[in-house]
Amino acid sequence: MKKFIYFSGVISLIIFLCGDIMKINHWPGANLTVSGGLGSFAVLFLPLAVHAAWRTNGKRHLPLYLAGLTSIFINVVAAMFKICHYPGASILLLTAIPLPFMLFLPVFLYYHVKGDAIPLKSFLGVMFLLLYMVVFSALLAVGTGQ
Amino acid sequence: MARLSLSQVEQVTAEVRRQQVSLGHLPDDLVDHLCCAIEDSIERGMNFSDAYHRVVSQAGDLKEIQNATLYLIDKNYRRMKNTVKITGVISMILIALGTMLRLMQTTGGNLMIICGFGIIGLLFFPAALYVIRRETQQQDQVLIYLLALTGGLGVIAGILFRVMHWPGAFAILSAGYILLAAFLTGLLVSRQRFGPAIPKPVYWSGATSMMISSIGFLFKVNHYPGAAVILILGAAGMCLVFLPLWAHHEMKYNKGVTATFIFFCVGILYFNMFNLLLAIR
Repeated sequence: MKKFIYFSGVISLIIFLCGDIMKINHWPGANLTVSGGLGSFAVLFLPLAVHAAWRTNGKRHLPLYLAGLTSIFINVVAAMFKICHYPGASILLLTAIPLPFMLFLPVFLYYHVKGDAIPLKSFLGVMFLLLYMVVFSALLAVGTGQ
Repeated sequence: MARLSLSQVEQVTAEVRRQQVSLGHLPDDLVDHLCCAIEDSIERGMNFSDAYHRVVSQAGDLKEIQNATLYLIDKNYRRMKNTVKITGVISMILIALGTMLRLMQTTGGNLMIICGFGIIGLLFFPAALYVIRRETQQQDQVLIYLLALTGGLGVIAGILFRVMHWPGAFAILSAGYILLAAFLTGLLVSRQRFGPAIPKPVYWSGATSMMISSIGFLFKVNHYPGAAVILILGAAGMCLVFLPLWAHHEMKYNKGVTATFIFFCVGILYFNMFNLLLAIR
């Protein structure tokens, strides 16, 4: 099972990369490949990996794992809808973008303040990732990528 | 009372060293403590191997003990650590709210974005670097940290200037990315100081892919030709070389699936997603 989870993570990201390349070049089947990559990441890899990590961690901090899983799942699905121009993408994005900050971050901070086994290295990693997300969202939202 | 042999004590010392504990006389104290616990387990009828593995797994992450000790004895470290936590959250909220206000064309959005970026650049980033430097006990790596600081500040200031449409954004961003991408990554990789347990190819592939992506991003914001190709090359390096190597390393040395692996997968996914969104614009 462990090997399957690792492989599913790597393979789904490689499929998404192939979809990226096809999308940029406007090749046929790009949407299907992107959906395949992001879909397998969200539906297959993510729940299995989070469940396995929760078990490895001694089945503690369930709300933290659930908050993380929900935030990433909705973000990935929203990104898939946006990239593939599926209907309802805007509504999904409106829900997905604030979710890591409004759902995951408070739970994460709660466990961190409680001093419950979240090392500073992990805290900094998560903070840098969230900052990266918010800065790039700002950059893309205000149109400076153009 | 059972007594450990010299080679067994050496094994315990090697474990403490492997976990990068280096604060003052803490390594010696920890070795002493672990040896006593192992001797106690042997006294209760266990053999050395079982007692060693039991005690080491019970002790957990020794680096965390070092960090907790630092937190108790070092006032500056304590202040900086709290600064990182508070400013990280405040700056993130300010930028997120500022972006939303700006998208809705409401007043106050720009001010929030400026304050958010200001807090990141002037408080969060230097404090985070100080904490990392203090925790890794690398007091001799001044040049690396100075490069990280100037490069990071350049990129943060450049993005702020770009978002606010102020003049000079390209020059600042370029300087920041050149500092970060070329010098810092090269130095970090050559020193191999942030985790001797991780094999060199993993570091090299990750750092090279990051460097290529940074150059691609620089090309993109400066509207140079070939930006999309470079961005995709960086993403490909991440997915096709770095991630499989990292996954192999994680699989080999960990019992289950680690939160670090999930973090890396999600990070790479976002990294590629933003690269794609930038490339297709």
